[in-house]
Amino acid sequence: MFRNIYLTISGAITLLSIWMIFIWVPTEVNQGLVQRILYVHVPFAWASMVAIIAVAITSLMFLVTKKIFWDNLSQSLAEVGVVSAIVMLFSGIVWAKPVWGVWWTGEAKLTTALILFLIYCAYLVFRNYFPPGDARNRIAAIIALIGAIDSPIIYYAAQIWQQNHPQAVVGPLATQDSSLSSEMVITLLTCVLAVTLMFVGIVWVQYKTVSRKGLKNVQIS
Amino acid sequence: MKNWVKILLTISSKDLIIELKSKEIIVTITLFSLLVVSIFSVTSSNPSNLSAEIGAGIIWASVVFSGSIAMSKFFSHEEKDETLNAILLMPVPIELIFFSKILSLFIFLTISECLIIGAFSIFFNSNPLSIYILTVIPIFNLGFSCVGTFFGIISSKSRSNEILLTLLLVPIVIPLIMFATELTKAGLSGIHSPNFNLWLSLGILFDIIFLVVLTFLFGKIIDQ
Amino acid sequence: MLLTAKKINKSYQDNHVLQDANLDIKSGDSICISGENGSGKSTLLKIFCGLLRPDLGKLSILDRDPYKQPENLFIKQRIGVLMHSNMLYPQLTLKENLLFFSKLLGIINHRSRTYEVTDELNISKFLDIEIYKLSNGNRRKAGFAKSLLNDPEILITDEPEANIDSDTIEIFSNIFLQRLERSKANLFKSHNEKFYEKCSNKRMKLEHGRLLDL
Repeated sequence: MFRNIYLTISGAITLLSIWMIFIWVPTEVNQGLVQRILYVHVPFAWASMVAIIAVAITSLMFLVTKKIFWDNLSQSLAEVGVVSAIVMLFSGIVWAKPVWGVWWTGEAKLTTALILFLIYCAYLVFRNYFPPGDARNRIAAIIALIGAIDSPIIYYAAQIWQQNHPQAVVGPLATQDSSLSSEMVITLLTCVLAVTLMFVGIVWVQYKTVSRKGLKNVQIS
Repeated sequence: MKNWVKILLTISSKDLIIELKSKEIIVTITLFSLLVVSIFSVTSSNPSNLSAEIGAGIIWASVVFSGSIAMSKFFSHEEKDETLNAILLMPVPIELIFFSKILSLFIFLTISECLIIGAFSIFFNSNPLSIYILTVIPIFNLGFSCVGTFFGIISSKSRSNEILLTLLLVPIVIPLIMFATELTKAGLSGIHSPNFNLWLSLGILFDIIFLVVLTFLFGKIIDQ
Repeated sequence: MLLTAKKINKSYQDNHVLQDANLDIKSGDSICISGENGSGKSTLLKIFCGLLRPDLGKLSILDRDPYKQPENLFIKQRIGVLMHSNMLYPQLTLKENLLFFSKLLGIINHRSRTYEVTDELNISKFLDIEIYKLSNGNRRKAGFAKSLLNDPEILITDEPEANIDSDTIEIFSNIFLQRLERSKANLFKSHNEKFYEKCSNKRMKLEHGRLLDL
């Protein structure tokens, strides 16, 4: 019952946000049509950021409480988070080319996002390579924590690096900043809501799959 | 305290004696990085005119990749012969085991970096040796071998440990790699790096944070 | 009491290997644990020597808690372990291996102790040979020599007689028996009937995760 209501609401908001992106919201003056990538890029960046913080928190909770619930949850969050990060990185790359004139720059936030994405890929690879059991779950949680500790250092390093490397930005956004009109803000918020609902839904489904897989192992052994 | 130093040196010198007999790790690191350096030397049209930026990148990329391969070898031997377990059965504090492995890897990395720098200066007709690189090497090696020991022991217990170690190690040590590359670049080009102090503090900060955190977490990855 | 284990539980994933296993070892005990393959004998031995941590249960060795540093260092200094693997560095010679471990054990005259142990086991002629060049049987003897270095209060061994010829089994069982006279204790697992008949004075069986007296 709850599932159906959730699906209906989330689907309706997604449809609404698609209508808003393509029909309702006015085109931005400086960047043109391509600016509409914002409505995909920002929500997914938000989702992947939430996922990364949530993985760190659930991993810590797992280490403290040793309840398998937290471990399964952090695995599903990491999986969905990595997919969101792929959408974020790809939409960002496609957007940067027409706007900044380059596909990629050494900007601090970009570098940090890329490296965090790689760390969480490694986290998932580890979960698949290591023999399953308590030791694996505990070490996976430790890896997630180390990634979380590392991220401010990466951001700091990327910022120092940025300081003496002039940005290769030549596109329309190079000289002026654009501000969002109220319609754009409304559209963006709707999209964030739609993606968040979708994110929570997928994590929920994924959590069920992951914990059922754990159950299957019980029956075999 | 004096006793601790003695144990530390006993374990590390044992690693060095094994290495002197088998020469596996240093040969792996050195040959692999020579390969990387020579690929760049062969593919660039004018090796003696290489830009400092690319030069520094070549040096540290080859150190990082060859180092991580050698580390996974080092720890997979320990896992196969269960010699790490043998040391765990000895009355040695667990932190000392961690430090002794860091010390051994530190020495291996330093030896092979000297060889890589020598090879680089011949192939690219430039002199990377400077006060910068001499500051970088100990700081980089300490952080790299600390994180490498931690993940090396983790991945030695899993399938495809070489790949896993590289995947885990490289993204975590990215700040160190950036630090090493930036300062080496300053040394190669002879232009003083404007952010020298910031980079230096970053490198030292990285070492301290990871040394403290990983020493604390080391016991948790060891017992099963 | 040299070792007391109360209600030790250990499970791998959801395979419950040990369920409320209890064991007391007094000085002069020589306990042989038997049981079917996969019944958890090796797991039990690994828990007692500190390589594995039980999920539940209370373990005290030499009246100390083995999961607290530095108390566990005191314990580790006084127990000897030979597991399924010999745990020696294959690239080092027998002498280098034994000297290394006796230094870590804090044995004062480690050189003379090394020679003493190798004489006892009749492997002095291999002292300068690398472990990987030795035969399986001699490697086993070398591993056994390592576990005897500190003249342990409790000797925990996992099938010490594997790969060993009958003459040497005789030497091994004599060592086991001599230790009992000096009121030390042995805990081992073995499938060799002749061996365990001779050198155990108490036999236990591991069944469905519990230790039963035989």
